[in-house]
Amino acid sequence: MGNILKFSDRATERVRFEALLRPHMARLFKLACRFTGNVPDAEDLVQDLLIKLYPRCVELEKLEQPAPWLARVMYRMWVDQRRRYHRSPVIFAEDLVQFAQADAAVNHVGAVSADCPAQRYEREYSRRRLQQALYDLSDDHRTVVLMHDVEGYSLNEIGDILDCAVGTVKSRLHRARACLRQCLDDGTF
Amino acid sequence: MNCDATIRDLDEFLDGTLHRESSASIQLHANSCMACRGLLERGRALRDALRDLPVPAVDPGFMERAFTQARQRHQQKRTLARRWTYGAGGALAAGLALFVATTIMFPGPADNSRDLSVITVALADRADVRVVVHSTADLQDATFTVSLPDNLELKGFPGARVIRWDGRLNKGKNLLVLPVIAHGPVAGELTTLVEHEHRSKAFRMNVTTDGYIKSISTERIKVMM
Repeated sequence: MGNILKFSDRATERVRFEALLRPHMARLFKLACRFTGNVPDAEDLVQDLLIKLYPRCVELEKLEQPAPWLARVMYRMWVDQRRRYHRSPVIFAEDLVQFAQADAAVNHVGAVSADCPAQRYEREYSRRRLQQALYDLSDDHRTVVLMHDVEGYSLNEIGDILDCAVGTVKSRLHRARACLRQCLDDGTF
Repeated sequence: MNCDATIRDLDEFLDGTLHRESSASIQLHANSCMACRGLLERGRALRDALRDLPVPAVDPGFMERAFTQARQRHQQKRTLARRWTYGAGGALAAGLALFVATTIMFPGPADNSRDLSVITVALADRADVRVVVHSTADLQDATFTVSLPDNLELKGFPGARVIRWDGRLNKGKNLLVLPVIAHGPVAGELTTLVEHEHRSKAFRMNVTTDGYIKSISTERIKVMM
């Protein structure tokens, strides 16, 4: 026989990879959206994550809790991208309007609400200010707020994902919230 | 409890992680302190607003595209690594061989339904279905798709009716071993589809759950139990 086709190896490479990753994709995508602030960059980040992980299927299978590990890998990739971005002398115009997609979603939500126009406008205005205040935070502070207050990760999970002490996470969260409150402290919140 | 302590413990109070007695003290203080009551209300409003921040829905087609792209990129890297090993001359020869092999290997229609083999498996026992694929040249990046009838399971893939993976075919005979288990009465087709670029060849066989192998058919395909 010229060649024994390695069914188990070949089959598992694709099928097992997808079986491992699919249950986590929705949450990873949401997290990517929170990190990047827009859909195209979030899709790129998730795509890069899959490309990076595809050859590491065996390593993935050995993980007892893949969810925080996946989030950690994606977070590091995002941090690397941000570093490269900050080193770059070029800033693209579309990067100046981050959260535009989220704003569009807000508009859509507002459009189907039964509230009166004044209430819709007020809520939308508040959300836009909150998104802008989030965007004005440092990356570290914004990340912990988005992961904890928006996405609901626990402090321990965040410490694990960001590879830092829980005390550090608490401290960043405290400062970030204080900054947000200060930015928004006109009675709106 | 005073205003300083309220400000200090505000986050833990709102997160619900503060000790019960301390939480009660803060609430008691806030009831009588307008400034701290306002602080708590704004804190709650901020927390609620953050929780309600919308996130765009994922494009339904994105996940499929992303998985496909990841697989293709991995294959390209693997192929490049092999070609780098073999050298530029080898790469050119391999590319030529691929084209020739494709045209020679897939001369017939994609779905060959004549002379179906009939194989029989015992209930709850593992059986190895062996498919011999003849290839006239090396083929990189062929795609294999196995489709199973009801109640027949490919070992290691419980519940999966279709299993798809990528592999390569060497020149000559290639043996594909499919370990299957029947979990109930089986009466249907087991299909192995081999695809390369835009061409394909389907190997089909009927599977039942009693008796023995009834026939082995075609000069290109051999099915053994």
